[in-house]
Amino acid sequence: MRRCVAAIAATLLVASSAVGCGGNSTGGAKGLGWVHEPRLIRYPTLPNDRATSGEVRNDSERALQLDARKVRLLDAQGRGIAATVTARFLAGFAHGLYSPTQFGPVRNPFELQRLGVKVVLAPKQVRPLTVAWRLKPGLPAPARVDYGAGSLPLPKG
Amino acid sequence: MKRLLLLAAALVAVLVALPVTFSSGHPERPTTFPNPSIGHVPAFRSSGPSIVVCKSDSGKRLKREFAPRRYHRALGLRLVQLKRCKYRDIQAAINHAKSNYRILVMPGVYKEIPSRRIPITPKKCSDQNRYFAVTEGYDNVNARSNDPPVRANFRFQHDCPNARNLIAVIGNKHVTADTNPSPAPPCDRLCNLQITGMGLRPGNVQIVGDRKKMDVIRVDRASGFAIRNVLVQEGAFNGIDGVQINGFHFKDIIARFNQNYGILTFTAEHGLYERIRAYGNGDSGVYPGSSPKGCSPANGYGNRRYGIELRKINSYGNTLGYSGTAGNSTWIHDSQFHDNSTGLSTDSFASGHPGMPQECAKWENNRFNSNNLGIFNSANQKYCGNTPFAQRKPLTRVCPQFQVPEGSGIIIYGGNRNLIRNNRIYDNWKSGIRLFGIPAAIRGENDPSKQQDTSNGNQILNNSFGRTASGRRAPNGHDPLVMHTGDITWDDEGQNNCQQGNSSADGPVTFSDGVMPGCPGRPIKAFANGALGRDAPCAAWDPKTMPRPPGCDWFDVPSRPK
Repeated sequence: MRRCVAAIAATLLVASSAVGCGGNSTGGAKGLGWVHEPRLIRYPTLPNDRATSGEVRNDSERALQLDARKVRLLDAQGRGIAATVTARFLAGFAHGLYSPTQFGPVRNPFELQRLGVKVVLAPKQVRPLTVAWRLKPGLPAPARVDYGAGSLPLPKG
Repeated sequence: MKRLLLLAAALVAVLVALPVTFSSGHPERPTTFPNPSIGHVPAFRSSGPSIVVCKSDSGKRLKREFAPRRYHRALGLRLVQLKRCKYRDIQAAINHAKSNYRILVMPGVYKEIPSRRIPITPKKCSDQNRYFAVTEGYDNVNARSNDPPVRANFRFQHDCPNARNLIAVIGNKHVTADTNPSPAPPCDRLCNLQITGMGLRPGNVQIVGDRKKMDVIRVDRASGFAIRNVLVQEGAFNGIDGVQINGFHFKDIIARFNQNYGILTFTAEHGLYERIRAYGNGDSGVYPGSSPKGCSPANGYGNRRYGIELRKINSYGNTLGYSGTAGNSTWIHDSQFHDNSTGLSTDSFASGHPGMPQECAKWENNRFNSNNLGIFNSANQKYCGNTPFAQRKPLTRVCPQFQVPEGSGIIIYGGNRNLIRNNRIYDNWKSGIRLFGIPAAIRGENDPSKQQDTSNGNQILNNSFGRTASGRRAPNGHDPLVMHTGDITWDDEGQNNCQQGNSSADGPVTFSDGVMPGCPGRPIKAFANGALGRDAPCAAWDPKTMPRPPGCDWFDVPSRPK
């Protein structure tokens, strides 16, 4: 199992990697699923901010076209939560080739894919996913993240 | 109806032209490295053919600057040279120069009015297929979109040299394809050209950009180029931009308030930046990026070649003091990077940069201190996001072009076999050194075997953290409530990263995330501890639409460490 985890870790950053190892992912049965329990990240200096980071796998039998700009948060009842949300199919920081100050948002397909904004996931393909959000104080913590073609559970906290 | 059709046709023409007109970007057109086996750093000459450039008030300025008796001999020589002045603009002198000429520029303010009159995209150079290249990424050479990735190719610079450059020195008589042949074509015109400011100080010869043209001075394939004793400001991208030059020397230059870079070189070789003062630039003060590789894994640490050297640099008040994506085999010493948002960044997280991944730079005997400049506050971001460069109040604002973690001394996101030795790193309120690995996919390379090719083999040796040169205590950030804080922040990724012989304000070096072992480091490659993932939300930064992304703590300078 440890070897399997290592193999997954070695490949999960690769856009085109496929992961097997017989494990079940968690999430939508016919869409994306977390390969492992994602990490919840708290920011001591940003008390209203949270992020979750992990790897997702396309468990469906068709390619999924995903746009990280369209993710939104859901509560336990599946209702949308008003929050500032960002998502990237990335394991770490990256920036565009051109400054947004001068040229505005990225539109080039290659850059959108490289920056983890707009990706196509073939069946069984794995990619990192990081979702961050800022909630107004007092709002309930989100239970799921809606990625357009389905939703994924979020760690509690 | 006919008028309507004409109007529609005109509108379409404008829309088609727009992407070209405003296209630009940091990476160049596709380029190749010069031949590393030839070329050298040029020395400044004091004899040989020369052309004098002056302004109507140059004589008065000379007499004022050189008034003290000790300068009278120098003044006399200059006044004799001034009598030979034939040109009022530097570009005019370059246009009449040949290889091995010197351009002597008398004191004055040079706005290069004839160059300013040339449109950014002249009709002559507007054909997309003939004059522009796609630069964005490795795999999208056939992509055609309305994005910025179209970039003026060498033919454009050759045929319309002053369309996007206030001053252009173009080193090839004939046009060859951008990437063919490789190595870059050798210089065959305006080679070994030298530009010398004849004032007492660099600020006495001011070369002022119009804030619309990308480069104030562009040197393209003109090898052996040297420039000294001038001030360059307000380029819409770079103050000085050296591309595919084999042999260059920039000395006694002030580069300030350019939208992106004070001085930038790209796929250049055999170069020296010397006594540069760079401030107020929206990206970095100096950028020796995409430089040729000068070491191989077999060479280890002892057998290296440094293609570009920087010494006595004073870079402050920029978003970054120094940056260099794919800045390989560069030697930076006896310099100070202070009071920027981040002191130094070298990385492998952008596409389109030859020489990836970054490796084998050496930083020694430098000071990286007090890099706590707060420019991501909401007022500045609002102003910067809503005010185009050309409309900003001159010489006042620093508008960050990219997001950086404010309060950081050195950040290395994807770098191998770099050597950080004998530096003073203090008073950076977030962290001293940050070393992270970057998956190759982030630079656009999806080969599975490359995904962990950074960061490996970096050595941090004999540095003084947290104390000034006079011994005063000035710690780097070490607040446990702040992420990625401490003298050394490391994601635990890779192999053979090590530190040894370092000292800190209160004794041992402080670490966060991973504790870096002593040298020679861990021989077995390890996976990152997830520290990098905490930075991922910062990728969403956009000064207009997302000035403070959730989950990104880069934009608040922590309080001064106790």
